[in-house]
Amino acid sequence: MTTFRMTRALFNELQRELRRPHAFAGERVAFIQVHEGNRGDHHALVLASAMRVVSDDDYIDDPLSGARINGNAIRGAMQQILDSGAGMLHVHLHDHDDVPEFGRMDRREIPRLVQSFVATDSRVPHGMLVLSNDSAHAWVAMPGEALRPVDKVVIIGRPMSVIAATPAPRSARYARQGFLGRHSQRTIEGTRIGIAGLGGGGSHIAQQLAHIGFKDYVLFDAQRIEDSNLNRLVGGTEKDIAEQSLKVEIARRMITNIRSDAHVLPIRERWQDAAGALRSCDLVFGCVDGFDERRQLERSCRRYLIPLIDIGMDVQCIEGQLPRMAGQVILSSPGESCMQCIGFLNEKTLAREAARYGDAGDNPQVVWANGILASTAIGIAVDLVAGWTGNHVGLEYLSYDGNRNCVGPHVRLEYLPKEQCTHHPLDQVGDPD
Amino acid sequence: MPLEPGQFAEVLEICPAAREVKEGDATLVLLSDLLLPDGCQPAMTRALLWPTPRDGYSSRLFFSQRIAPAAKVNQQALNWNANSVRILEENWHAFSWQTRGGQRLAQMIGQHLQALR
Repeated sequence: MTTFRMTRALFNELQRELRRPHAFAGERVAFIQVHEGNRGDHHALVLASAMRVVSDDDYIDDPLSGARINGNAIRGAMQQILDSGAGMLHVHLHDHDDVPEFGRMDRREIPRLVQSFVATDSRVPHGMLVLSNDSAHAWVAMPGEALRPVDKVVIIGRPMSVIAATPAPRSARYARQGFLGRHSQRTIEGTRIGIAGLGGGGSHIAQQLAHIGFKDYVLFDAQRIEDSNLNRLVGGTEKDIAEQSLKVEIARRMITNIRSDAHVLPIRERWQDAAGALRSCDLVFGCVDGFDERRQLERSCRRYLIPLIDIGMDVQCIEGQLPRMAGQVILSSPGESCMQCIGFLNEKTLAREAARYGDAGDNPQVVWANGILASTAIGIAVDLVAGWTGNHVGLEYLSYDGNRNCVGPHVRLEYLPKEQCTHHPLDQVGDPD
Repeated sequence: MPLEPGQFAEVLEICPAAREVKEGDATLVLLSDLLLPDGCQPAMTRALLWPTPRDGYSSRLFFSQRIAPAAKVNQQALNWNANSVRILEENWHAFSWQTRGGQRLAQMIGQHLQALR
């Protein structure tokens, strides 16, 4: 299984470049730098980081070819492979909607170019990418392997496109959510979901995703249910407590009871100990305790171009005052502002947590607050994959006031730095060297 | 920001396999085969120096596994308060140990290792 991922910003940048008129060439080509991810795992990743433009002077006037480029353009791309240690994909555009295919001439000519990239550095992936107005298709030669179509293309952003050979669902079950869009159910079924933490928040999320029709899940939680979880863990029963059931198994049972054809991979470990499985997810829900774990999860998701939706709640009990219940839902998208940019993760809170020896403590948790936060996160996720609201904002930071029962944009968004995120540079995508 | 070459050369004297690595906006020192003080188990390990403030410490030294310190160190004295922390897609462990600020890289490593002596 091979997945190719790129950001929506890079997709748009390529579209602009490939549509730029040329003095004589009928169409343009470009290159993108790519990095291998999840090396050694059966779920391989090819992650795009940057575009390389072909100079106007490097096109050859050839009436038989829409875009013929000279040796200088190819040598430049090969030199970049050597200098960067990254792979290279040839990119061109087919000006129509829906999933494009490589034409006969593309399949004959471009693989020769890819072969010269492989000869330049065979330790990194190389290949060819074709864009349409709203979709993409890629063939990639992973190190030591032949050039072949990838199984899935994911364009990260808002909307997020998940392009896979998923059969269109024929069930009437989702008729009442048809307003989400013509291809929405297909996208929903093609999206691999990761949920880190299957407690109060994660169990709500799993249940709602199953109702919506998501089919592919990776669940991470090493814990077994305890009596103190029953006030909020959706799907948990007294029998589970007696049997000390694993939280991931409770979630799996709940999902498959709703959708029997769902593919659920329950990981009985922390996500940190099953990194390959996390990287294989197209969208991750973070339902974890503590700031440091959020920092780690966001870092891993950014490295593998995975959008992360984080939820969390707390109740502050100060003597002499009424308890204050608060929470947050954050959408952290690769290439956009991160949890550090918005000030949610900062050195002060991380230091305070470390002073407690990394123990986030037994924070108060209640089912209704978990439910509101989970439902809000689900709303963001569905809009992310379906794009039904037309909202293109890549960062969401919503604040929950549990005392007033309301959710709204966090005040910190008003002070968001205008500069691009420097905490997670896109040139660090893929496996570390 | 890249590490100062003179300082990095000093690190190479302690750990010849050391190399500079990037994690997000931080520049770190990956110490493969770092020799630990006499009596530690294991005697050599993979470690990662985070040379700038993190988690309330002026620098942190992460280890790929928990280290059993030399016998003369009180085993209870080390508080391993960072466990399986994900950095550079590896799990790392660190004990609570504050070092003085404004030190050179090699001095930082030496101060962290002092806790294991």
